[in-house]
Amino acid sequence: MSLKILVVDDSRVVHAVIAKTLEMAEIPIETIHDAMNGREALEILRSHPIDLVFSDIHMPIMDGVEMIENMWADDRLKKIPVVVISSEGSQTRVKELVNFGVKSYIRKPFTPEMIREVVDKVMGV
Amino acid sequence: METSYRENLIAILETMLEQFSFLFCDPIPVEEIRSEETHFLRSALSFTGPRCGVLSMMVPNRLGAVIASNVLGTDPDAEDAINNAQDALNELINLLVGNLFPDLFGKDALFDFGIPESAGVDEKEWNKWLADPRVLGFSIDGEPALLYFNLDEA
Repeated sequence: MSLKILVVDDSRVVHAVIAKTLEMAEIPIETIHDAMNGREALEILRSHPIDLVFSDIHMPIMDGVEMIENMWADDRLKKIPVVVISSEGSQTRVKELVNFGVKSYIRKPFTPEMIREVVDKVMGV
Repeated sequence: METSYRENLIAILETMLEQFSFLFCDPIPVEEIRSEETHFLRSALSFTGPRCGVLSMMVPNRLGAVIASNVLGTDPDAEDAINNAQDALNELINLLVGNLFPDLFGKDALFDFGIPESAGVDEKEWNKWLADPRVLGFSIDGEPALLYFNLDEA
């Protein structure tokens, strides 16, 4: 199964790093869409089929938590798994996000092995 | 800057630079820092929580492009590296704060982080930082870099 992935982060450098890491992790990918904030992500999610979302939390215009709340409220989007990728190291924040319904959390900086493990767990690839 | 924080900050900067951009850094006395450049990039990340403050970093434009080029796998003179220099510095600041705070305050401490504020600055601002005793100096890939960490009570 080749995945259609959406990367949500306000850094173009991070988009490039995640795309490269997914390639190094040898994850089969059909397409990677990029969004700079939650609002752009929701537009892409509503107009393209997406299998998995990697999202940052702290972003301008619409942050990751608000984006996920919007996804949960939309019947077409609420089953799409979201993995948070953030540099934040607080275990309290991680627990909050998992309780909120986030499928997994990857802390930056990350390795191809970390990405591979999470994609395997979340998508059963 | 409290001495214990300084040691943590230096260690985290070394680790993050290596893991993020495959670069190495050495602390150097600020008074020994010289730069031929006239244009610099600054990134500042504010935070609130058990403590509040800001972590800021300033580098010559050239070093910003070097960091971006190493992350992107391009040449430092490539348009892509130059255009993403500020973005790369912002991400480095994110990494520093995110990985420093669990070391300083414990893994359960909860902070609210802002979004990195970017600015292109001139020699005047660079020289102002050089005169500030709270600023730490580094050499990264042979280029100077300045780091400022201000930590207040909440």
